Amino acid sequence: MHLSKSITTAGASIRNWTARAALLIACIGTVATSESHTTTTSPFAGPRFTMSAEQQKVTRNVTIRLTPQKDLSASVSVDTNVRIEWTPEEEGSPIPRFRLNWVGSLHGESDAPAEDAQPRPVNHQAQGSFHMTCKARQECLLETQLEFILDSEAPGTVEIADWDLTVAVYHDSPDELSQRDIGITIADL
Amino acid sequence: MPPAPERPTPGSAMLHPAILVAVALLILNDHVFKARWPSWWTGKLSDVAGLAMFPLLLQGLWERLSTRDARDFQPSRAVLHACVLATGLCFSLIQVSALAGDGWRWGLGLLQWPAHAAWALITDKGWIPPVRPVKHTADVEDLLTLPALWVALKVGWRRCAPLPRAAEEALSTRAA
Repeated sequence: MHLSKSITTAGASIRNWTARAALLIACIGTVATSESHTTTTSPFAGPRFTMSAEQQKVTRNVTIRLTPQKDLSASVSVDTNVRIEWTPEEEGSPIPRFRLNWVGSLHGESDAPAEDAQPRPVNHQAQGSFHMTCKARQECLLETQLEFILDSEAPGTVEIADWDLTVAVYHDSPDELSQRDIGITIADL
Repeated sequence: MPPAPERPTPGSAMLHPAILVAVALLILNDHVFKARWPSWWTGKLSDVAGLAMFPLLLQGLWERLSTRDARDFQPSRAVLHACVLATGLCFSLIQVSALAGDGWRWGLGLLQWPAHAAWALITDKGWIPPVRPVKHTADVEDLLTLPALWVALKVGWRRCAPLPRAAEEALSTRAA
């Protein structure tokens, strides 16, 4: 009798917890149904350049242009990927530190921490975010700068082999925003 | 003697096979089918699956919050009807009213925000994303999926039926 009762109690308890789990999964499934309107651009590749102890900082002007058809409130996030290659002049030179820094509108949002620039390709990433409010059919500009900083005086060169920017626009408009409505330009300072 | 039927517990409507299938379809359709086979059918499938299970999800949440002693629990048909009605009304409103549609977009965006913020913290992005309204396309044609509420009503109605006397006695004996 006692065994039967404990089996019944265990069964009820399992059923109770299964019901809770099913409720939780259904809640998550319901909340995760729709995503926000996001338009992501193809990566915009920047030109290759070289840094050294003589040129420890390179700044690029980055302009992100939105031309929405309707009034738009959006948050813009910019992902940066950089592949660097360190070539020491002498064997045993200290490995330099390299970092990316967003200034201007994206200042302080997220800078990649300085990392060792190993004598092999190393990928660095940085991300910045900014909120913009744009008027319909007017060019809406976000002007900012991306700094490439070498924290070292070690003899040798750091080749910025590849670097690219990908812009994601999360907007509150019920309409789609095509990639054509977002533009990026990069210019040397 | 046939086995005694299980007594309903708070939220147990979600364990009905039809509702489990609806939840699985909703998740699969939104995250797999729509991306692989975007079409009119996948657009409507989420509405059908959502309408079939959402009233019982609401009812289950209500039962969890309002039930103190699960031993004497008996699901309420009044609550079931209210949940079916509320689901049907809200679903219809967001398809025909821009204001209601915006309320839905921002409300769901707000519910999603903690997960986005937590992900940003976990992945060390260094910034917390703002609340972002979700996509929603108001489409009167979606009202054609309203009959899917019948699934919730049917499953819920049977669950709310009082147990036959013999089954009650069998459960009482087993519990004792």
